[in-house]
Amino acid sequence: MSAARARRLARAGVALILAIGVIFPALYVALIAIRDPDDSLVTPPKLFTLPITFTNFQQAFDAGLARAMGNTVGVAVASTVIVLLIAVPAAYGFAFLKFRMRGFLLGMIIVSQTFVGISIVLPILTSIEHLGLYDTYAGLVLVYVATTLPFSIWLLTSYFQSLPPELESAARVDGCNRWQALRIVLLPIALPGIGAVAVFVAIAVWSEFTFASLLMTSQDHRLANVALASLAGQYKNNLGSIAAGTVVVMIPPILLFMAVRRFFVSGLAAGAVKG
Amino acid sequence: MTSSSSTNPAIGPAGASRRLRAESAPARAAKRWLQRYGGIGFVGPAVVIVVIVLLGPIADDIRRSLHSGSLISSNPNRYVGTQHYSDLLGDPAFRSTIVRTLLITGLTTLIAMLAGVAWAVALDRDDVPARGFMQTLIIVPWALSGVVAGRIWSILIDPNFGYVNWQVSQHVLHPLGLSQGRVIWPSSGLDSTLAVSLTASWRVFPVVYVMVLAALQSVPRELIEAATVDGAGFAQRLRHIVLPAIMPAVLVVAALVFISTANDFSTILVMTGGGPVDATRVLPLDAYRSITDGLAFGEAATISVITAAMLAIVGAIFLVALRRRERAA
Repeated sequence: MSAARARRLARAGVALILAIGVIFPALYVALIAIRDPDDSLVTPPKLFTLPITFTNFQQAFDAGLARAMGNTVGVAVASTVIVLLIAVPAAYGFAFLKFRMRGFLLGMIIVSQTFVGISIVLPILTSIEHLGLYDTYAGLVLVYVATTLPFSIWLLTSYFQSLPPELESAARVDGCNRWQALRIVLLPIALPGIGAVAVFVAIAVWSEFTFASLLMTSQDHRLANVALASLAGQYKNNLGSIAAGTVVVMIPPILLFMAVRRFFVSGLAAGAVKG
Repeated sequence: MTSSSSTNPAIGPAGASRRLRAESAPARAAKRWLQRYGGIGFVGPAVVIVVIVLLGPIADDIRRSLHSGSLISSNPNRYVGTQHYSDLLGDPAFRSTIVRTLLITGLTTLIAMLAGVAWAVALDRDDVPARGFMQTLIIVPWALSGVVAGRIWSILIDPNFGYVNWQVSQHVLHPLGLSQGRVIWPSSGLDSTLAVSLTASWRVFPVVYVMVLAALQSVPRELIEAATVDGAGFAQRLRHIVLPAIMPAVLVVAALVFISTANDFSTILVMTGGGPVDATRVLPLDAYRSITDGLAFGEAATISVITAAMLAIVGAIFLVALRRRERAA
């Protein structure tokens, strides 16, 4: 009995330490956000000071944060929808169909995940400029779709492979063509996995910085994390407005995660374990 | 077989069966062709986008790395062969940057993996209080950009006004005799390396947590219960059942975290700018600066190719480890 209790305590202890590692920074940023900026410049630093103020939020919104948030929601939704429209049929093809070069093409897509990052920045920058897509939503969404595709296809292919293959062949015997088998039989079953991929893509877009800062340069087209980063250059003592902006920028992802948390892990579970 | 091989969504099952009855030789040939290549219609769009937007740029990088690309020279398109490579690799500072990139990325990946796996194992029980709340808050570091995460931790550990810096110095380091006053980390290479690694791992460990938690769902509960009945303790179950079962997923996640961390310079850019004296200077930071300076595109492309090659090798190592485990199992 006491051994079991000790184990439970140890586990709760680990969870507590790790929770503090995440929750404390988030909480402290929230406290800075409602504090007079001058109260942040005292020694020793204080956890909480009075009076609380909302001028930091005012400053963050004056710098165009609301517009940037709207832009980011739009880009994230568009990227996620397009990725799903491309990745779901591709994953179905890789999981259920036998065709020439299947293994080679799947391997190529997964390996290209390695190049998502700094290595493709310069060529993409010049190509986007050549195509006249510089500082346009279409250009940025194209880049986000491409950079999130390999991971999405890898996860969804594993997910489809974890479903019983008889499902697909039974649908075919019953007279479905392949699109119908995918749409009528497999899609409803694969919904948790597809939802998990959608969350991954949306969060990846929300937190992306390099392409967002290099491709969307005009004030009206900036994304949230770029607007947040640029707050630093605008005020001398900017701790407060950065903190307030951070709190605001965090709200949509937190709401999204709260809504999907239950099926998110189970949706990942079937796909992620295949490796 | 019953396969009608129609990839046209407009033709329903009825049309398909009608055609099945009157099947001519050309129709059979078309059917065979569709069976062989029809799947390409499903994967085609994805393949095209990946080739154009991800693989094309790498080819473009290789081409640029063999040309001058310097906008201040008289002819930026002059072919220079492997000169950029020999210039860069002949520079001891650049060679140390390669090693430093691997070390900082490795340290960041290690911290993120340990924290992510520990938390996933600790929270993989229904009786943990406030589990949902803690799982939801984990989204906070994940959804922040590296720039913002860097700014937040710069605020928290600021040598003058940072609350965490003050508390840790006063209550941990000073009593242990490790430090006199506050930690002036920006002036120490080792402290700066630790600061950027901890911040970067803070931002990516939620991904590890979520993926490992998902992998844990696949560990058969009966196996764990049977081991418990046989008298295996928590540590034994972890070592002999849980960890081997989730190891493939752990390897894959480690590879993903390593690759994304090695590509991300934004945390370092805002926290240390690569300093003090190159102590946190990494490859993508060099590439980014060559690009934004806009003067040395040939050099930027060469750094890009070297980074991509390095990551491809690391990815291959993880893949070999994964295959070896699968064969051993």
